Amino acid sequence: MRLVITDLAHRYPGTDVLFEHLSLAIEPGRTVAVCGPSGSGKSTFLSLVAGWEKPYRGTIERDGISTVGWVFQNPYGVASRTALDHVVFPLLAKGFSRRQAQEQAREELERFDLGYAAGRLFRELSGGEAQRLMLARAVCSRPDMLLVDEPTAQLDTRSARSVAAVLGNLAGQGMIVLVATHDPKMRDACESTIDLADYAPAGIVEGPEEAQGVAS
Amino acid sequence: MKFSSIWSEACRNVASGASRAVLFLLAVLICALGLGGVELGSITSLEQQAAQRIAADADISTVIGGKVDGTACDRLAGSGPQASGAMRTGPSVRLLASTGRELSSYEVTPGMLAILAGSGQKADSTGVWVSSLMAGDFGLSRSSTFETTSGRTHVAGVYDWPRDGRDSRFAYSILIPVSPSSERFEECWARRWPVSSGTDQLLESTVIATGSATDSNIAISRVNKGFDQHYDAASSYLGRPSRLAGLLGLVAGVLIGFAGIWRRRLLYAADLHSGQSKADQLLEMLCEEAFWAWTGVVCAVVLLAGAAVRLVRSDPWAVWAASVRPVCLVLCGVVCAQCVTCLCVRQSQLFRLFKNR
Repeated sequence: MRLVITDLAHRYPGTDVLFEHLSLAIEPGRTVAVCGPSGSGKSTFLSLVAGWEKPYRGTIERDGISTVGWVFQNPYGVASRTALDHVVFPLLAKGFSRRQAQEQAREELERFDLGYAAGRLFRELSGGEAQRLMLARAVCSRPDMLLVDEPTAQLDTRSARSVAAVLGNLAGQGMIVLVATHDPKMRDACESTIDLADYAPAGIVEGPEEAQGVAS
Repeated sequence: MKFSSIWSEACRNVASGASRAVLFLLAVLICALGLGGVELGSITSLEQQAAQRIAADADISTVIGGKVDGTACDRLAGSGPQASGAMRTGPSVRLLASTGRELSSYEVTPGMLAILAGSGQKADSTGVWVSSLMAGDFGLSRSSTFETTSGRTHVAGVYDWPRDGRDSRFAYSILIPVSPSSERFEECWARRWPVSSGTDQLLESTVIATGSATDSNIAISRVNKGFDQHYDAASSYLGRPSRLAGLLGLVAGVLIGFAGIWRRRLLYAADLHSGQSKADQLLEMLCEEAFWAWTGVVCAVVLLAGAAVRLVRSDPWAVWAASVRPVCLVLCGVVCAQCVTCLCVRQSQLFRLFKNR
């Protein structure tokens, strides 16, 4: 299993090129941060990698990757269902009985420091807890590649730190993990970094705030 | 996905309120009961209208203005009309109990007695028939006798003839049964429900043509002129405004079913993203729907049955079956809309749905 990107460039019709000449290869078990200033195309890059959009130029080979998991910037779920129910669902979808699924789901919740919240309703979770729950649910689906979009963008510092910690723990799980972020702590928790600013066409100038976050 | 898991997920979605089952159940119940109720009320009203006409003998036609063959008139019964009979003016009768007062009488064929007797009593032609009003005044009843200037007379039957717009001649008179083959009669009456224009032709066929100018005086009339002469029960039923209740039910069902899925389309797309197959999702959706859509429809059907039993006099189950039609179409609309909308939700829409939420 391997993700190989060759000379990738992308632009939306009628707009400037977001990035170009992007080539890389990612092996399973790696957690990679995708950084860049706002508007540099981090989310777009993830959707290209997922195959939900066609690149303007270049190729993306998803060798042996059949399932892709997405974790969005804002956690979403069924407000009146418990945290455990959310994590159990992908396991039920795989054919496990509810008892087996609940056992595995509880283990997964523990791994994401959410064991204490298993019985809580989704609406009772804090932003950080809900985001970690979404990660736990995505991991339970056992995707070959996990794409996480700005997981800490809406969180306070403490919650962001907890999410960064568990994302760092995903390394070595056999998945390719790509995390779009402009949070330095999140980036540090990952094993390697792709900075889209490095692939911006000449003449595109970054804002000072984003530039500071990427350059550290 | 195991069926037990699909069922338990559906149950948990309903129990937790995620599927808004109570809200949608009420929506289905209100639509189904409202539209079914309108249909039931409309048909019941038509039925009462028809029953009122039958009770008032508004379904009896008569041919006047010519000489009628009594035998031919009596024979019309069974060839279209349910009953038929002829009548002519009889001699005045003077009761000894009311000295000096003459009462009108009419000579009628046995078929006429069958019209007056209805289904409640036998058309006994062994004696005279008197109207209930007259029977009350003179203390007469079936099998009683009274004295007239021409002798003792036996009462074979008493008929009701209220003053509700019907021909007033029979309201206070004595009907004397005679043989249909005796002389010629003045009128031939025929009862037919539902009213048919064919009856008019049959009535005209009982008139004996004389070849004189009086033949042109022949006309068809109604015994009770207090009702619409052009009434057509079948047209009234087919043209009732509530016939659109079925279509409205289908539209309402489609809107409810569509709303049920549309509001949760992001979660449906997310479930597909979590590995649920479309078939499993469809089954789970149908299981959830069973809780509210089917419950709402069953409640509506039971309530309509109760209303039909209470309100409908002749055939409650036939009227109930008709009123249940819009209810079934509400359910059809819900099921079809839910299935189609659910099939339209795809995992590939997740990114767009999330961005647009």
